[in-house]
Amino acid sequence: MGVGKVKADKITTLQTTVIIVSFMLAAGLLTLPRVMVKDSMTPDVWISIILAGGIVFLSGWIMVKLSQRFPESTFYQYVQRIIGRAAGKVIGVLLVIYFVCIAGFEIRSVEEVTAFFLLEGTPVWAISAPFMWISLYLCMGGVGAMGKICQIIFPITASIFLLICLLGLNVFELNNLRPVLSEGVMPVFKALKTTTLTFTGTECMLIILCRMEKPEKATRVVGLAIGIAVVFYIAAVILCIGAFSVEGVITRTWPFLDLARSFEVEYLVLERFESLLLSIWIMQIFATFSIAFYCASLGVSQILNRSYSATLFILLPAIYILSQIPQNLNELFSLGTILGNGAIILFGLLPLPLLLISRWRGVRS
Amino acid sequence: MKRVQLGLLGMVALLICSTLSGCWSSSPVEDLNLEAGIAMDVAEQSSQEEQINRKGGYYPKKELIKGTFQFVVPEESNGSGSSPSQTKKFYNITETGDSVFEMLREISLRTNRPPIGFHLKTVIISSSLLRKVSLYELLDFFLGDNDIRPSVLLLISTGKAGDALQEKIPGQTPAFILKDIFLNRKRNSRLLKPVSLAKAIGPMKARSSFLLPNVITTESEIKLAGAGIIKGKTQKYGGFLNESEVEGLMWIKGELEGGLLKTIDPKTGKNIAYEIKSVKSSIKAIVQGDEISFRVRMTSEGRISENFNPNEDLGSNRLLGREESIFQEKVNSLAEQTVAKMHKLKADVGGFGEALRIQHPKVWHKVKKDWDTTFSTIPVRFSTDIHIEDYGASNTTAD
Repeated sequence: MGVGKVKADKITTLQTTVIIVSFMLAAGLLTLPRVMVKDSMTPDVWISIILAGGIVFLSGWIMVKLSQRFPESTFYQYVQRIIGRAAGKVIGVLLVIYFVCIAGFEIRSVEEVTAFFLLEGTPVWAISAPFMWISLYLCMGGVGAMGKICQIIFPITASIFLLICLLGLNVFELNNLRPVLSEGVMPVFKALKTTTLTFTGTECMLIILCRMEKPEKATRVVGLAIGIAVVFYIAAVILCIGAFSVEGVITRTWPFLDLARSFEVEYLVLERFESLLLSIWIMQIFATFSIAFYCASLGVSQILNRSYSATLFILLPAIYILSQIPQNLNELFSLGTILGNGAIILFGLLPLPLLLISRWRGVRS
Repeated sequence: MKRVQLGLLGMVALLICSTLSGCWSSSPVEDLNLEAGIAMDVAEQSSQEEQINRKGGYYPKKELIKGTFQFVVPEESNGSGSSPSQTKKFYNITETGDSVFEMLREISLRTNRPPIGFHLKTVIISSSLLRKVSLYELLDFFLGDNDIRPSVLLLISTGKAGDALQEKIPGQTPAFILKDIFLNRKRNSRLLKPVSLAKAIGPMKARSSFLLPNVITTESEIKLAGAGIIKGKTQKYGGFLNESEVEGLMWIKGELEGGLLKTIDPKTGKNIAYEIKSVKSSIKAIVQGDEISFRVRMTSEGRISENFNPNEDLGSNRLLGREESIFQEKVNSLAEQTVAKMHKLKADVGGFGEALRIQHPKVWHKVKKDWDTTFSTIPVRFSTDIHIEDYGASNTTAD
């Protein structure tokens, strides 16, 4: 059993890529067009996405380089070796808190959107409870099971997303995106921060790199994953602005969902596609939630030296309680922003000094 | 054995879970009132409502809007099929109030089936109501609702909007007819592109003028005729474009999918008609110092469909060339007439502001605040290039 489990808990390069993509594509996809345009008031925000992709790749690359020095252990374990036991544990706890918050944020987003658009009248706990229990079951299987799930989910997501984008061309007007850079480049930079926030996701490399079959390919994995996410986000933003115009898109709470609601297709089997979009989106959030849940539980178990499956059971109610803290939609969105800011500090600024210290002290496994 | 039992038990539990979870908030479709169309007029109580009020069914409101709500009658699945095509497939309820949402919910007290907006297709607003209340206030409910989709079509009516939802063709639902008329755009050049809620959000928020297709009603028919202008600043009704002005507008915007162009040959005094295969147009904004002007180039390809002159042989290129120039003049005059109307009403609905925004963003920044007024003095020149490709199966009119 023991040997078999160790062997099973490895993930292929492809699986790692889809795990990162799934972790990146979450609640942000539906709200990103509004958030970006609100900050910049220009249709040029797609340029910001490309720039943000570059920035995120840079930080991802640093994290990969850091983790590659310790291909046998997770961040929680090696950070203690780099900067000492106590400080390492503190950073580990911060990371755990971050992942727990991410999980709480995602579960609450699912509740909000599903209860509003899909299952009006169903109590929210009935939406989140099966979601969380199934995720718990998945996490018991370890990262290997998660890799397989993402491998199944991702092609479905991508094809339905593509279908919706193609149908969205029905209501697309290129003039809404023109002229390019009429306001200069400043608005593009203004939107950069919010964009970078939605790209958080490469941080799971800190934890899952040691589970990769071929850790040396990690940089390529990160690059590919960010590339895919950039394509998804650009498509969503361009289509939403094309359909609603810059002024219109800021009035939509969930712009991409409204895009799917803006056309009716009479020649295909289904006339309306928002339910399809919602279902793939729930799958995607499920993946994000599970990965965050896994990373958090693994962290707790490695910091406190407790059994992994026991931590899963302990963390689950904590996540649920956390998810119920935001009082309304605005607080939920600001929780998202706080999380993004936290991610910038934890994963944008922290890994570089850690990498330098570990080089300087010559720590490696 | 025990493991098998346990496994079976687990499977049963799973099955029960999956079947139960699907029907939590389900409601059978035949127990719902599916909204098909909503028409909004200036308030005036229906006789039913007067009776209700007299009997004490009154709630506090400023009477402002008269809403006519059209509901689809779910088809009963009777196998015998007693001529279902002639029975009425809808019914209308009228309610007066000042909030669309409240009116809809008040209807829940008048019928056991709750109104539900998933299948709402058309919203018609009367121009007299739009003179009093801005479009944004009237549509606020539709824009925020979770059932009503942004694909709902918007129409204006210079007459009574509620009349458009009365039965005209037996066995057909008016709300659906109004929506499907837009499929005929490739047959007629006097119909605007359909304006859905999604398309109205941008101009409403940006406070720019735009058009809504207009519906008129007679005793037994409806017709989509002309278009009503929603003025940018106020988002209220600001005038009317008649059918030929809409035709000119469609040429200016190059949004024609088909249709025809008819004019009179000045030499023979007879009708000639041109069937449009394709139209393209480009609006060029010219800025010289502080002076702005526009040049519109329209090109089209098509065929001669009617030529009431038996002595002319369409086989000759000279004749085709002459007819091309007659049609070109006609298009130019249609377009000029449309722009003159827009100037008069002080509303740019022809996409000129957009052209300026794209081509000269800096100039646009300066003039966008009061664009509709600025536009009313800006000259527009037109040039048209029509190419007659063929003349159908007959090269002369049969004598």
